[in-house]
Amino acid sequence: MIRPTIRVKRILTAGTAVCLSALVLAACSSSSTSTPAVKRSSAPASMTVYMVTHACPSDAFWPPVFNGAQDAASALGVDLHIIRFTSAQCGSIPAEVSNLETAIDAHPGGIITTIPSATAFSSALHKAASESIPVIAVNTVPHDNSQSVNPYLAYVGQSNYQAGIGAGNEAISEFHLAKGATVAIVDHEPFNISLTSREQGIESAFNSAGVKYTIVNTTDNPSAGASTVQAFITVHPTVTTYLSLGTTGTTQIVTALQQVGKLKKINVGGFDLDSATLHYIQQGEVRFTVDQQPFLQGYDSVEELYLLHQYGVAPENISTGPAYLTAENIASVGKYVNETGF
Amino acid sequence: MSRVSQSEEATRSYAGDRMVTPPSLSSGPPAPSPQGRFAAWSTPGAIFRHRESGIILAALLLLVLFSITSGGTFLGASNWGTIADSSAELGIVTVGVAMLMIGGDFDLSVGANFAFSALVMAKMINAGDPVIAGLVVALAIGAGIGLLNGLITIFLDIPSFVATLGTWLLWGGVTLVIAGGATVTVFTHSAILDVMGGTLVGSLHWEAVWWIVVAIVIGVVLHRTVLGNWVFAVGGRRVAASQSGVPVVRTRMINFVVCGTLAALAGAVTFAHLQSMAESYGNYYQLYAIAAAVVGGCALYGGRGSILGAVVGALILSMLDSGLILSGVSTYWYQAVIGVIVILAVAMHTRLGQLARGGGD
Repeated sequence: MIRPTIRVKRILTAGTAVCLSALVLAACSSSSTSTPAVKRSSAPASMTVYMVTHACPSDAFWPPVFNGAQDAASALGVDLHIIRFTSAQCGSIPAEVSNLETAIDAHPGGIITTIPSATAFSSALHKAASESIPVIAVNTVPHDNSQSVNPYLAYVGQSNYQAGIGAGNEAISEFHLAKGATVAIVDHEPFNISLTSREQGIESAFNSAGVKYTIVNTTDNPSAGASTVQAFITVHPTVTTYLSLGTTGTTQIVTALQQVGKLKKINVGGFDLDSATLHYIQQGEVRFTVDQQPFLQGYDSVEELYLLHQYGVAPENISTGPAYLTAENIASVGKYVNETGF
Repeated sequence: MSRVSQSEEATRSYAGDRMVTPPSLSSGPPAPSPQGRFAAWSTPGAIFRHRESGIILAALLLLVLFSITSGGTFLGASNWGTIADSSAELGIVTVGVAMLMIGGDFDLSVGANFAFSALVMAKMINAGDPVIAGLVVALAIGAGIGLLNGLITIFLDIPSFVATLGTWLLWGGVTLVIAGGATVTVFTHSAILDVMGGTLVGSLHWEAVWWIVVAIVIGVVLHRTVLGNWVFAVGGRRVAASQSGVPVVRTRMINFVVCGTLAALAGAVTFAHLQSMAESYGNYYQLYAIAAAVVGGCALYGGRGSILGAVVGALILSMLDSGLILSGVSTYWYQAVIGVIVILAVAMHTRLGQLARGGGD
């Protein structure tokens, strides 16, 4: 038989555990309270926007995107919820799809999402469309996307394929690549379809010019990736040009070159901009990077949803890149970059 | 489900007293004893003797909490479809992990298994093979990975934690190699993929049905059959179980194979839902499946736990994910809150276990 006192104690124990978790949650809620919004017009009702991304906490690319979105949200009186991956979720498309589905369940005034898979987001995007929730795609969409597969109103970002062609041509002219020269392309996220599109663009430009290329797959891990690149450099001393597909890859190349003492003797170009890449270009260690204006991606996507919600203005695709940053223009752009996010 | 769950006392008596008594040495493993199993339910207040009751109460309180903090959206049918989907993907893995943990072993390779087997299935479909062939091969690979985990653990006498740490890296690496690290996307539509992971109704997908089916089947096996008794006995007191005639090696091997097969099934239904797969898709699962099982009351060193608990554990993790988002809390808190919940849940299970033992006899 169970004594009544024991029963009460059991209930109290279970209750205490749950109350503690409730306290933790309450503490979390209070810390996320946003600052008072400065509204542009006399907006009748506040608008809620969810932003769903595949941003990993370690990825320095994303903070300016979120800063742009937050700046727009506070300027326009939009209640913005940014959903990011935890470290454990990095690269997990199922986790992002689930986050997008939860955002749809909240029935917000609009959703901004990346679409880093050709098929995985299809069902959720159709659901949003059927519930008349406006969706803006940001930063990443499948190359040659069909609206019947992944419906969204507009894309704010660069065409990664076009950016790849641009980077390929920039490398050919900047490094005077002759027919038959070999370039190593470092891919730190082979699963990321944006990087695959960039790679395909580079290949297209190189194929036209008769330049050969080889792909070096690394991971998001900075030091393990640098070791992989270093090994490649040692085995392939004749390769004198390296291209990254993002800032993580750029840092891996520079670190590897530093370790083998070949910094500035090897041509380096890449994609995107973070404080490290800014420094590399200022030092002449990296000759160019292809920028896609992440701050604008965040700002414009919120702005477009606001204009649609407030005035019925239909969202349009906004191309935020590519722009080529070299030692010549990095000083002034660097000032802007420092003000918007790093 | 709750009726098939095993009480603290029943577990103890099977794992300890009954198994060690001399008669079982000659007569083999004992038959299930319904009296011992369900005796706990005979008293009205005995519900708290069941280790799941605390965690179910916690889940209900989370439900109330999130319903308030989300302004009611948490309770929407659509949100429960989302929660059921995401907890199903994690939950199918968790059912296998829970059975293995109750038997006293670990499998850290479930995430790599999940991605590898589903990726092979995706590549087979893209190569023109029938979807059913891809599914069969995926499940066979999962079973094979489980078998290998068992062989390494048992015959090389390596702790399963370390053995499966090795196979996690092994199969994760092989997955990267065969896909060139890339995501494999399948545009083919088929009835089988629809029934595995397509839309069932509203925002609910078929994965949830498979989760329930798997949980019921494994729940019945674990809590209603001789094999189930063996699993508890092997996890509780392995030497005593062996001495009383329980086929320890066979039981552990079966656990590894079931766990591997279910990881592959979870990968296959997730792939059917998303029509794409990559090595990184499995990242999330190895530690979170163990976390869900532990939250649900599975003891880290075996001998205790239940499938109902594992199901509620996976559900709680998904409820937290969705509830935090709908409450406007930064998703960065998710990881931290899960950490706190794991500790609180284990503390609660331990305390409830002590109270049940103290008050029950």
